[in-house]
Amino acid sequence: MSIDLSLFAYAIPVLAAGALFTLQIGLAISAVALVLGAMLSLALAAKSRFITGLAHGYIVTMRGIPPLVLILISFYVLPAMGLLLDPPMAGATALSLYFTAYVAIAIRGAVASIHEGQTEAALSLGMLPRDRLTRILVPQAWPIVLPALCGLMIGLFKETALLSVISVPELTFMTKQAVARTYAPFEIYFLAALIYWGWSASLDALARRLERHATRYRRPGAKPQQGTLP
Amino acid sequence: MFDPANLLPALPELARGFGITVTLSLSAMVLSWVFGAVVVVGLLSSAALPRRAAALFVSFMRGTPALVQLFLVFFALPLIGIHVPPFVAAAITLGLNSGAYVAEILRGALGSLHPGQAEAAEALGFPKWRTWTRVLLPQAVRIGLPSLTNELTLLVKTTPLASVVAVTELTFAGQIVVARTFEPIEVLLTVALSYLLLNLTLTLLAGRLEKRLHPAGRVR
Repeated sequence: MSIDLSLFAYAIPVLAAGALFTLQIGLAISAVALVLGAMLSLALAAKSRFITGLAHGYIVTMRGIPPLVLILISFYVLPAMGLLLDPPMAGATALSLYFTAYVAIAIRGAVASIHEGQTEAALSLGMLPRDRLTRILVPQAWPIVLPALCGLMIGLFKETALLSVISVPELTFMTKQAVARTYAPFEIYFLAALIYWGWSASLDALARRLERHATRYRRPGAKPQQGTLP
Repeated sequence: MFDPANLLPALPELARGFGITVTLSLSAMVLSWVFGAVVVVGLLSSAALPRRAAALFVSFMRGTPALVQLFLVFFALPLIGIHVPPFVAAAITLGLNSGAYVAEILRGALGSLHPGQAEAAEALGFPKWRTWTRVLLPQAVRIGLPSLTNELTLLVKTTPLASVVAVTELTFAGQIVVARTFEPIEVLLTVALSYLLLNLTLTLLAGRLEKRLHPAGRVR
């Protein structure tokens, strides 16, 4: 098997365009899923049994259906019901709704793992609800939820490959195009795999740095921040 | 809006697809356990080469999309002279992909075992092979069971990928019907519901198995 270098001269720009699109749509889906997931985690903790029941039903449904089927539904069924979306929008909608369920579980788990004495102490100190959230709950839940969210984001970027099925011009779709032109499937798919791999690895490295930053107060010898009590 | 007349003629086709989805899931599951067990032995090996190779394998499998892996296997096997039907290529890819996750689950579970287990086996003169198959892995499987069953539902949700290499499993069967009838609503929603029911059944069975194999031997 000899590898032709001119092959890569053709394929690399095509794949780079796809990788850029993957990055954009991946970030957009992450942002939407994060916001919707945070809202859904509030619904999971609601007082009304009806609302928590609905939220649980949503999560069970989303976790039980393959993301590819969700993408096909949003691509074929929504237009049949009169809602016309272009392929990137349809795909991004499906994946956002899918990951919302996972984000909600991660956030709910992290918040539930904080001892209720923390909230009680904040209440007894007379903290406002807003301060209770931003100064007590979030700083403690953040280091717990961060690894889970980063893991989800890596998973999300891999799932965007499914969007190629509805011809969204992301990395896998562009790879298919390049293969159709050059007919060197193995080399070009391997190149695409390397791009995804590098992207996962850099997200992973970023996640580790963020985690170190989020847990910096736990390390021995850490200095208290200025303006705070020791 | 939901018209059963659009669904009924397609049911035999969808049922056949469902059967293939179940077969594919089960074959990939068995493969993933075999691959996972082999890879975890590599990950925990004291020799550098198997350890590095296993870590590289896990990192690649977890860092790249299963869809791209499927294309790689599908196109790479003919290059080295192996011609297999798409179903086999899909089962191998899903098995390799899920095997990397199974290996990580087993590694976590093995890490929680007391080192005395391996030492006792050594003291009793167990050969290495028997130490793994009789002492370490059975205990790791019990501890990791909740994660392993969760991985199984994820695996079921990966099987629709086989549709892109023309395995007529449930999703592809549904797409074929939709392409013929132009009536996507009933068929695709039925496909989604079938996966949901399959996964809920698996979760239910897994819960029972977990109770039976509870590490303490019984549930309180």
